[in-house]
Amino acid sequence: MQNKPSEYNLQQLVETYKRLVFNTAINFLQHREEAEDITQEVFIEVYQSLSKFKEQSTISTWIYRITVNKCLDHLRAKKRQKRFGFLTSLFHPETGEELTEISHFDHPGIEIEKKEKARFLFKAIESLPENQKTAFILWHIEELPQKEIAAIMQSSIKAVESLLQRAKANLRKEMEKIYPERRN
Amino acid sequence: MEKENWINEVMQSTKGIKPAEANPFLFEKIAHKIELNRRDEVHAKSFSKGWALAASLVIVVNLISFTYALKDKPSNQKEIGYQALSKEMGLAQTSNY
Repeated sequence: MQNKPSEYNLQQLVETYKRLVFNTAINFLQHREEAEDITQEVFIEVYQSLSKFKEQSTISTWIYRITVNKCLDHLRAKKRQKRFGFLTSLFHPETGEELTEISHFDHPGIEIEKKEKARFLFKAIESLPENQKTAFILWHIEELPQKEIAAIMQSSIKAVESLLQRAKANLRKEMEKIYPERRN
Repeated sequence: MEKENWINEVMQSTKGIKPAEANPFLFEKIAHKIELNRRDEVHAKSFSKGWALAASLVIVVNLISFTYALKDKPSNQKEIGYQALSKEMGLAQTSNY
């Protein structure tokens, strides 16, 4: 049985939900260190706003929502940084050395034989609009039921279904573009 | 056909994904960050308290000097009045000789 939010202390919260928060963050951000930072931020926010939690949804739905929002904020900030700091991003801020492109993300929980294909999928997920990306990650990778996804996204099940359809169609289009790359 | 198969395999590549493990010291890191935030808040509060104290001190000093200035004013006026009267009546000393 789930504890009432007011009955949690910080350690219990972290122990119970660290897997949920960290895995959601890593699937969105595709970067281990950034996912760890966001996980810490999520727990600080959750802990500090526990008293404001109105129990209109389950605590896990609420934590998922905070995590998704933090990840999207982080991705937006990164995008802004890329757009406006194009020149500075080419060089290391301290050493001035030229930065090389970081190799693409390898999810630590994926079987070795599927790793290469999963890399293509994660690359394609990056190109999705925010709401399609959220619905797809929560449904396809986190394997949440559509009802819960709708609660997290504060939308209807029909809207989630439609987002998933569009996400899948867009991913297929993206993979058609990527397809020649995998042969080289 | 080959492309379709490949796309389907890519789409299914995350099936059976195992959850990634978070940092084992996650709780300690979070507790440390919360403590740092709390300390920053205390610092910020004492800093603003210091400013409030300094500002109220300035206001009090100004009020006191203003009150004294008001008290001084009538006697000054009186003196000016006497000087004007003595000048008018020719009692004022206008030269040093």
